[in-house]
Amino acid sequence: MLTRSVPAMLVVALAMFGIAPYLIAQAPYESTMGLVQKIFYYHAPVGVVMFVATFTCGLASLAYLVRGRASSDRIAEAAAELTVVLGAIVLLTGPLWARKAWGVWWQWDARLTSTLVLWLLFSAYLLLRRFGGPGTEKLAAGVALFGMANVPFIYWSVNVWRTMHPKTTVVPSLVPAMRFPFYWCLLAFLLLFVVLLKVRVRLAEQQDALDLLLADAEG
Amino acid sequence: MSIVTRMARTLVFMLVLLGSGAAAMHAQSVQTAPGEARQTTAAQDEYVPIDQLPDSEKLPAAPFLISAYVIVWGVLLVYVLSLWRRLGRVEAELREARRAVDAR
Repeated sequence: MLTRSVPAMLVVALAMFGIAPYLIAQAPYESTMGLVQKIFYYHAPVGVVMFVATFTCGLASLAYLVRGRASSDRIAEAAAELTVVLGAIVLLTGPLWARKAWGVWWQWDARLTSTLVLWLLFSAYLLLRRFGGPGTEKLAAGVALFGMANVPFIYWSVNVWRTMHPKTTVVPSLVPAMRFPFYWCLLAFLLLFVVLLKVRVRLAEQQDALDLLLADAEG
Repeated sequence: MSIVTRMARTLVFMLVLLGSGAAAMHAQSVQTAPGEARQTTAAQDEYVPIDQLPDSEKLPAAPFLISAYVIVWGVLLVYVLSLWRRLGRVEAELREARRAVDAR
């Protein structure tokens, strides 16, 4: 059974998501992009939570490589799956914003390309876990460390290289009417991430228990 | 009716047909004059820049915004359903396996 905190967090997250559209609608329009800029209130928080998932996977993989605990490996696998899911959302919502704001669906600039590379790395992690067979956990953990190392490059890429993507100064400089819905959505997505991570870890635990039981029954 | 009258009527009818045909061809040639064709089709010879697009040419933002929000919830819903289905299946298999082991 999942702990009671999971349903409680899920209820809070869903309530926050229920209020979010009202807050987003009340937020002022951005002067150069207008209505389409409101994609920001989902796109950017999901991007931040994707980084959190990436770090969770990377640090859990590091712990697994150092200590060899199965629980760390389960957290890493769960976080990698969530990185791919959240990355898909970021990579799909971004071009919708870009098409209106920049006039193109995709630009091979540093931010977009490095985010795609991150998504491909964690997709490779999952494929390795799925089809690599026994003993690929440590190899996958190495891939996760590469993925985690990619995150600082993605974050600062907009400040270092010439790119059309908004810079990291945008969020700290938001006016209060824009800042509040942004952090509201960020908190809601963080709560949802914790809930999904716990459920996914539970799935991995049950799968391991089943594998052990079946191995014992055969042995 | 004499044959001369019939021939005269036929001649008049053919002249009317020829006249209307010529008028139609003239009207068509006026519509497809090269100078005017360039105004209604995509430019092929040269591009003329403008500073501002007319409003009718601008992409409306709402479909992009709505699509983005639908994608967010669509992807999350698919993932949650997948997680729920996988967890249910594994827990059912685990219960069955435990029952089988206990029965031995």
